[in-house]
Amino acid sequence: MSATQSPVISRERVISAGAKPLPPMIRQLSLVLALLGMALFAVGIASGNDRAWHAFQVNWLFFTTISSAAVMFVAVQRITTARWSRGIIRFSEGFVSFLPFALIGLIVMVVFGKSHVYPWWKQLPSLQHEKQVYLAHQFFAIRSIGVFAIITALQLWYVWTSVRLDVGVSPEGGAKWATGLRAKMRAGFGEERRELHSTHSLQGKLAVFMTIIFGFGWVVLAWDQSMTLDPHFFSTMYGWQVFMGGWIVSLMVLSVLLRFYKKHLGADDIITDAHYHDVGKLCFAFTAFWGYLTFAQFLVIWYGNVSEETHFFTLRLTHAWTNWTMTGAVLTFLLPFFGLIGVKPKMWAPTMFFFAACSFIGLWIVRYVEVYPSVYGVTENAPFGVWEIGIFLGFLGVWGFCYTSFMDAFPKFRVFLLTSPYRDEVQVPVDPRTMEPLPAHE
Amino acid sequence: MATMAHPDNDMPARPNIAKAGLQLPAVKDYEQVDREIMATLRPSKGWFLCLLVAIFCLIIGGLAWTYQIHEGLGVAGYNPPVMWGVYIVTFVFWIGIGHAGTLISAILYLFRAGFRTTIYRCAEAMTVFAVMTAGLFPILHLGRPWKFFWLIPYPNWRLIWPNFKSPLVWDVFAISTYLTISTTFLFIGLIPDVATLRDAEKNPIKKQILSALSFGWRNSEAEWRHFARAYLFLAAFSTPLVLSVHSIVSFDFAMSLVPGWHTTIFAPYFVAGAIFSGMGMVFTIIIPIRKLFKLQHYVTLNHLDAGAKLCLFTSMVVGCAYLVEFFIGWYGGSPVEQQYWWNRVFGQWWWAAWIMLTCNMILPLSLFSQSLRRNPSWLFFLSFFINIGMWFERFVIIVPGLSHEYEPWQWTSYTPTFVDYSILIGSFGWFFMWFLLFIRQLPVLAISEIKEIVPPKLKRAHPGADFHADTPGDHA
Repeated sequence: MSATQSPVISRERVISAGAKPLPPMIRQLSLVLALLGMALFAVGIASGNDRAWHAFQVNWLFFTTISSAAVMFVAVQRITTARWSRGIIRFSEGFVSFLPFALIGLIVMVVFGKSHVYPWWKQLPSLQHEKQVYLAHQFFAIRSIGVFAIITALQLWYVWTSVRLDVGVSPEGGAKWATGLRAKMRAGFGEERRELHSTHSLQGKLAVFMTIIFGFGWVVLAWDQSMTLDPHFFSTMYGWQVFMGGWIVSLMVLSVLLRFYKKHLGADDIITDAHYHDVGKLCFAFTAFWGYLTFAQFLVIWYGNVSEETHFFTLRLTHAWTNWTMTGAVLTFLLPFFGLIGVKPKMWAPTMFFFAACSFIGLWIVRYVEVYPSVYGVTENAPFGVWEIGIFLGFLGVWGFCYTSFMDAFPKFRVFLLTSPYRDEVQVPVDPRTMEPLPAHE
Repeated sequence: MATMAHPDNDMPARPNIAKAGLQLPAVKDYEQVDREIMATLRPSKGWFLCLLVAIFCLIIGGLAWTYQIHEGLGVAGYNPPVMWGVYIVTFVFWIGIGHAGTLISAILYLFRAGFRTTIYRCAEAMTVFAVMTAGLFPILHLGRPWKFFWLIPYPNWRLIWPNFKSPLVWDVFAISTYLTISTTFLFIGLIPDVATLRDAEKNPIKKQILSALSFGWRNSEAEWRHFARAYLFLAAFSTPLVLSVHSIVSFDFAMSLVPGWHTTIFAPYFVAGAIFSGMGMVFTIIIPIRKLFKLQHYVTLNHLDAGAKLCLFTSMVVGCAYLVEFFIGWYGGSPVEQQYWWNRVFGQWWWAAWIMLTCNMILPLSLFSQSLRRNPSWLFFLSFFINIGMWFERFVIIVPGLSHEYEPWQWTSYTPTFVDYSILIGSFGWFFMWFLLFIRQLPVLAISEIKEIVPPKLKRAHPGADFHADTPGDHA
């Protein structure tokens, strides 16, 4: 990695680079896909086809874990006071725009689609006592929606504090729909140094709180929205393995977005090769970590050979599900792991795109294999067709529409932290009231 | 030559590491670094006293082991079916301690975490000696310890091979690999510092030894380039080992069907617990060292603060795993598992479980307070509880599981004897003896890496020439 030092970029340069809107075609195409997907979903509901609900759940899990994990990655940057990512982290912050839709999607599933989405919903009285208690309808609905609402609120709040700093030091500009939001951010924006320290301090608290809620919350959501679809299966690792899947694909998507933004915004001086390499290394590292979690879970179950656990994998490794399961493992772990070991595949766009695509498709398949076999059981024809593809495209459209709307409304770079003369004062612990570093030693 | 430093233009990129001006405001130049860190090598009364105590503890353990060999394993507290007791508990405990060193030196190096610079040498040495200590316990646990080499797979006259399907054999490979790599990593990182000691050494015999150990290091650009590459390679190579070793140790339990042992989360949960306990032991060691050797301006409160955050994070990962285990134990609906969890937390073993929960989950929550994270006395005090809590975590996993299996007629208890406790004390003696000998011979802080963040005098003369690392503009 090259890391020669060059002069600090001027504020005007960062603001002008980040003000260029995204090509309108992306937003229009996203909107078309979103509407088509919603229409297909509506047809599915109206015709009583449960496939539409199951495809909805797979895609909800897929897009929501990625988006939530991306914002969690942003919070980790604050916790570690990372400076390397200041030029690129807004691209991950934009993922937060999908979460309000995801919350609506979850409410739709839990309130309106409950008996279609959750195979146990109607069989609850015949299940074991423990399952009856944990999956009791009201408790389940309040828990799922409540946990995800808290995660969403925290992640929105965090991104708000981050965007506010940049809006506060930038001239008015950006998509019209957010004019009111930007005005709200500017209201009460104070002296630059004071804003830096007070926001850094607040973000520190929010980031830590978000980490705790994210970690515990996604474990519960993974149980509720995925593991308990097969109410006889249980695995302590399950939650961690589910949210780490979202984490890895959020990084893969970021690696693609970096290249797009660099070219589109002409920001060679802000988005550098070092960023490509760093994000590529994180993609590799977390691919390995996800593989580790997945294998550690599988090995214990395979070796233990207890039917309560093995039936889950036996189903997924036989009949129509074998190829799906194996393809998911190859695409999510095997190809990116071996492919991204070297420096060049991380730096060269075609290889990075290829492995990011492998991971993206692979994780979708993993989500499909988590949900569908629990619903459809032993079958020689895995249901896959227009419902799954159409609703996936619909979700992709909604995600793209939310994301582009966000990115066009706010500065695409962290103007403040890239250009403020005070930006590195927070590199060591500082008293936010006096704005002076805490004593380094006794 | 005693002021050698890493040439600036040859530096591997570390754009996220704050320079000494921020990290070590009281460290001004290379000479100061040499002088103050090499001063730690002078013998002192305190050091001799600590060494004597360590050797005394070791003798207690050695005598107990001799007694056990003479009398047989029956003198330990084994009570069938509880045939894994204090020895295996302590084995896992020391393996766990051995984790933080490689995490700090390798993983935090790859993540460019600046706070590792002044604590990693200490943690690396701790790793090597902790693994050396852990390696004794499977042997201590054998009825005929002189047959320990039967675990090593080699063609032999017995025509017997170890059972490769057993996680205990996986342990042999995992731990020996880990010991080899962590020792190599420690040694490679020491080369420039050993050269610094060599240059300052007056005694010709010692100078010869140090010269050999430093491979005739001359501080040339080519040597630094090779060194940086070797170090980076070893860091990358060690990283998966940090995960694999304790995962495989966890498989000793998770692969079986003993209640409370067979659970899928064990691998990452053991790794997180190991890092947590390792950070606890780092505090136990580094806080007295910085005080006794007057190194507070190297191992600063900011470094302790960052280490405490890592400790808090791993405590919460471990806490999350405890809660997930409790929940799944109940949700799974197996009466045996439910009985086991109840017995563990509220029944026969409640006291051990609550020591564990208090020390590992509740007390570390104090680290949410910044003033406590920056209070060395509190961290030192807390680190004792973390060490105790993590020893009890392994006790709580191993003993209640074996004492409360499927058949009620097998349910039993377990009480360690004086032999168990003596050998436990002996293991601390063995560990600290090696550690104390290490810090007397080799620098306990990494001289060369600290110099990397101290700006050279010429740069100091022209403040504008110094750079603000790593805003993207710097990242060209």
